[in-house]
Amino acid sequence: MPVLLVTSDNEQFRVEKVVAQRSVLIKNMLEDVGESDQPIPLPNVTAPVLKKVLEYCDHHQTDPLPTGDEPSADESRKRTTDISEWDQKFITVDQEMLFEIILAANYLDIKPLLDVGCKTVANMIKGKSPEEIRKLFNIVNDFTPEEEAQIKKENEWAEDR
Amino acid sequence: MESDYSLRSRGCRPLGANLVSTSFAEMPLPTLRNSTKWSDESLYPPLKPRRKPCVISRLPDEILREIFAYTFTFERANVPVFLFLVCRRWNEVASGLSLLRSVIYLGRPDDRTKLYNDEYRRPVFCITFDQLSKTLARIGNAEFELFIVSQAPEDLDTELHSLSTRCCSFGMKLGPDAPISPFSFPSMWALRELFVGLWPPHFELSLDKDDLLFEKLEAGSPLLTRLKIMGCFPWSLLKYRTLLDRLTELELSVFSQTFTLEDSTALCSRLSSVESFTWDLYPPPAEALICTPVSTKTLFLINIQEIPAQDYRNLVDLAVRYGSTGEPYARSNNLLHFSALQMLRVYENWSELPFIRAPLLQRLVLGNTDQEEAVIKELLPHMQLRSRVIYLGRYMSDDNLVFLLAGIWSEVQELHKTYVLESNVPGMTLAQALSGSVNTRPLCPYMWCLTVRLRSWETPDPVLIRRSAQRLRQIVKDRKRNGCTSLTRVRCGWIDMSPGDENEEDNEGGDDEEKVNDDNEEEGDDEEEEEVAVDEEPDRGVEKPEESPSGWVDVL
Repeated sequence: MPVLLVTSDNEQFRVEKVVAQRSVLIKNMLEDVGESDQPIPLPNVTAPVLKKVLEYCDHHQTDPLPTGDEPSADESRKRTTDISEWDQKFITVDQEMLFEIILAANYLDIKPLLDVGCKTVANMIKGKSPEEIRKLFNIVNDFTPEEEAQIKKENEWAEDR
Repeated sequence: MESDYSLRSRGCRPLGANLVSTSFAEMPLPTLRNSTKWSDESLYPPLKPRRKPCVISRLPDEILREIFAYTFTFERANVPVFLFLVCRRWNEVASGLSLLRSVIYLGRPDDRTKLYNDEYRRPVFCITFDQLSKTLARIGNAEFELFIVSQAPEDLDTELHSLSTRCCSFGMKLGPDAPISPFSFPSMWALRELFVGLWPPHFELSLDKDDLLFEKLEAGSPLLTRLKIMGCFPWSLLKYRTLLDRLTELELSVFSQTFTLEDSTALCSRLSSVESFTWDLYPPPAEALICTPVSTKTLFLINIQEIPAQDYRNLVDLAVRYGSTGEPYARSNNLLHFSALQMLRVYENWSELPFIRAPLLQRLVLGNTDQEEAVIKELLPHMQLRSRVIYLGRYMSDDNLVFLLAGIWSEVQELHKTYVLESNVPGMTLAQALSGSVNTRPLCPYMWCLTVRLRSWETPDPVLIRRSAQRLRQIVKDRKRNGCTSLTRVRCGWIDMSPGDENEEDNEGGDDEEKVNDDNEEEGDDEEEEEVAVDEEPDRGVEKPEESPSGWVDVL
């Protein structure tokens, strides 16, 4: 049975249940309300972003669902930033959309999509200097020169400290 | 029409706000027709040019933490210092992530130069226990990995008492004159991974002769599941059945003269849970000396002469590096069955592969071979390895490849081919075969992905890369013209093997042997060095055709 999703900008998306249930949030909502044709409001997601997210869910609809027992990236000692070719192509979007997808994946609780987004940003950051990162993401350097020098000192060789 | 909300978000006041109080209040309001002339923007002094929005700042801390964690790799365990220096918020988030400082090296000052590092990526490197204590204090109660890079300090065993409950991975190499033995150490309750080796490898020494290494591990490290042993064959391991039962990953780098087929059979029969297993033999044994655990899903055989004939029902991923004994080429006539195998990688001398039946094979990687073209031509008709995805090293000639693509590989869906980039664009024969013509259909009608990887020992010439990309583009056009539209992803990559990268790799490796080789090279005179550079292809380790290139050009 299809599910009706309503975005923050009031656009409606009719999708197959199996696709919508890639989102743990929607899955739980559907389980809570039971069989119903009531639309599901998604106040934190806009139509263009939901369209992208649903494209991902549709492609991965047959993947095994995460069990929730997977260690987080922090805990796992064997992590990789490899992204499959399809996912790479999917996530090749502008920065605005990339971060919107990450936020939507976080809100909708779609762990694999959140991982793809985080890995993509990690790959963008890796190998860059702080200045290059600031430029890439328009981040303001709010350190005082003293603070910056202190952090550099803290990260010198242990025996130099 | 834009709403008030969108105007505010652009830093503008809504039309009409405070209008009455301004001197413009008397002015006639613009009509719709001339409204472009009288936009609300014109009523206010120009705003300062605005900075582009910082969209990453919208991410909550927990997502930022997740991203930071992905920038850290345990293989090159360097602290990503750059994260701490971007801005205050990033510094706070990174400082709260103990993982980033959880891999610690202990060694002599000169050892640190062997570890990969630069201004913004540094390993946590300590020389004294005092420094180690301070370092551990910074990560709170988090678990850590400790690697003794060179000779272990004399008081290591006493100091390790304080570390034993939080150390989840421990590694050290022991020299023949080590002041201590590794397992006069205390029990390490949190230990999940242990790497211990004799360095230089010395088969007369035993890792556990007096200190009952494995007994201590069995009783005192109940979480230990990954074990890597280098430089000797651990006979005594055989009797610790509980420990062997628990292992899920075992890597043995051993002297082939120090054990027999019976030893390896006895060992493997007791490894009931091992899913990842590596045999690294030195020197390559003249005859079959090994067997492997039946439970293993991932198997890496290094320096073998022959893949042992046995039960491989669980094996999903097999990697092989044939060793060369200098004996004449003798291909095995065994037929090996791999009922679950999905990935086969053969990095060296793939022409020595036996006959293999692997009905579920999805990915095939064939590296280099030193066999002559004539031998390979003879071999090809016997090769019955079919795969959906194929990665090929530079030694597979186009003629042979086309022969296979027209035959058993005709249904390949992804082809990834490595070439050497010299003065010409390589791959002409392959291009013609894939393009087809008016009279001949293009090969491989189901192929959707084609990549060419250009390996260069000098900085790759961008003109040649562009021409190669053009050739790939032409293949796509010609295939379409000849009735085949299957290709949807075509890329041209380059692998920069110029000396700059080589040095970097040396640093990354951080291997004593490399250091020795470097020292020897330095002693040689310049003329000899030049000769080597001209006559011999530089040895840069094993070529892995499936590894990602330095850069890509997307053709499609």
